[in-house]
Amino acid sequence: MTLKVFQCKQCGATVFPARYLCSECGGGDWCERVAERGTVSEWTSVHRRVGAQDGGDVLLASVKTDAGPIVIARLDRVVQAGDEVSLAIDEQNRVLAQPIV
Amino acid sequence: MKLGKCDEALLTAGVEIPYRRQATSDSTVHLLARAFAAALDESGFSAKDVDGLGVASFTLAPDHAIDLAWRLGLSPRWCMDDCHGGASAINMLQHAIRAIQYGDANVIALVSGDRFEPVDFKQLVDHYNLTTRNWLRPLDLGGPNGLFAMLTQRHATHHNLTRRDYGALCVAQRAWAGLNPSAVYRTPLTIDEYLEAPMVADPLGRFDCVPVVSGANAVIIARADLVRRNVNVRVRSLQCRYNGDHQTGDGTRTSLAEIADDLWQQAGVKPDDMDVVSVYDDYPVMAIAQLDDLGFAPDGDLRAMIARIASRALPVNTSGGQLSAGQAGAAGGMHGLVEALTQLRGRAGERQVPDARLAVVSGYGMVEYRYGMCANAVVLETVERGVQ
Repeated sequence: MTLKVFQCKQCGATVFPARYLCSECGGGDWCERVAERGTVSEWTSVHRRVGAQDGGDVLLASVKTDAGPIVIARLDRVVQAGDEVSLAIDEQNRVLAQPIV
Repeated sequence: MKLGKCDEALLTAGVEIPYRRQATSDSTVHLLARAFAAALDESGFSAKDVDGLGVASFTLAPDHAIDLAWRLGLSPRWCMDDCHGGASAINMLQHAIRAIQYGDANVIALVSGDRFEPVDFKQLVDHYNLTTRNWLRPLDLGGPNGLFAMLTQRHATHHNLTRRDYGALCVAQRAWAGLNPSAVYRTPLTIDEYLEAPMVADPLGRFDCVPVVSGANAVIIARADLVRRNVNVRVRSLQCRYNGDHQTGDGTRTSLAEIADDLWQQAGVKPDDMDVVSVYDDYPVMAIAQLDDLGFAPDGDLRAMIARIASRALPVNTSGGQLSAGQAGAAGGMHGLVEALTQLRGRAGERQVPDARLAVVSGYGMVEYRYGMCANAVVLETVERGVQ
């Protein structure tokens, strides 16, 4: 599935996750915008997790989407800050970031 | 908050039920009841004097404040459930002072606390709010450590700080904890031990993450003419700001930066005048960010500010803070307030800051997707009967 962010029809601000009213202008009409790509701002490897299903590390990234908002995504491999990634949502509603090679 | 009416309400007790790393058989409601009883005892009031109750807890469900009031035999005229996590105590205090000033209540108890088994904590971090449930829980990131790891990276880059700088704050707080018999971790910590500790989420190591504990805190606020103790504490100013940037920033600046000018102006004092400081320390980066936002590094030199904390020229989180004393869920929002009250009333024992009369306390919390939504702060002053 594609990742969608939300753009205020009144002022053009984009947000993720969705809101009811725009914090910039108070507008309540939104249009969806697909966020296919982004740039990794930071990433981390989470080694110790509360109640983790498995013992493995989780790679986590802050991704500045081309559409505007920053999203928190899972990475499947190590990247560098500044790397371009593609974005998608899987069947578990996970935002996934994959390096564009 | 308008200055001038604030001194009609006084904080007259502040207590902590000793935090425990392992949950005991005490339920959350039992911990809250114990904190209430201890605060009442310290205040000199009887339960029959109490006509207001505020409660902050993540694990009290299915009970609420009114159920606790019933269990405590109270008939409150003012009753409040608070859901602001690390900002809960100052949020409740904002309302409680107004209630007393305008006659809605005369003696208010504010209590907060939680009991956590590992499964309770997992439930809390997975279902902290709908955003967490829908967008973070599926990532299986196991709580907010990963988010604050990335926030710490942003802060370190922006301010040119290293792990050693954040570690210096943890080491300084642990040294204070050594003087606090109630802190869960009191063994002195060296910077090398900090740096060599197992990584939790790069760059956060074990000592950067608050230990989860079970426990409770309580404070009593009363109309000034009713207090039974000679040494009390008044609020000089109190400010809250929530959703300051609606999660559109980078999280390294809290909304304390927006309210600091009003806070100090209304208090009629400045950061340099503070004898004691309590900032909400879920992670060292957030403690440093709040101090920065409150104006404790006016030249922007955070490393120099941390050095002042280490030397105790700037007494910050003198209980050891949550990083050493533990985070008892919603009680974490009251821990720093209780420590400031303890210092201002001269009851801090070995860690007493001499002649402490002015303190600032901040609250921070409620992570919505990337960082905390809430920040608030209160400036407090000792008031002695006969000299006020």
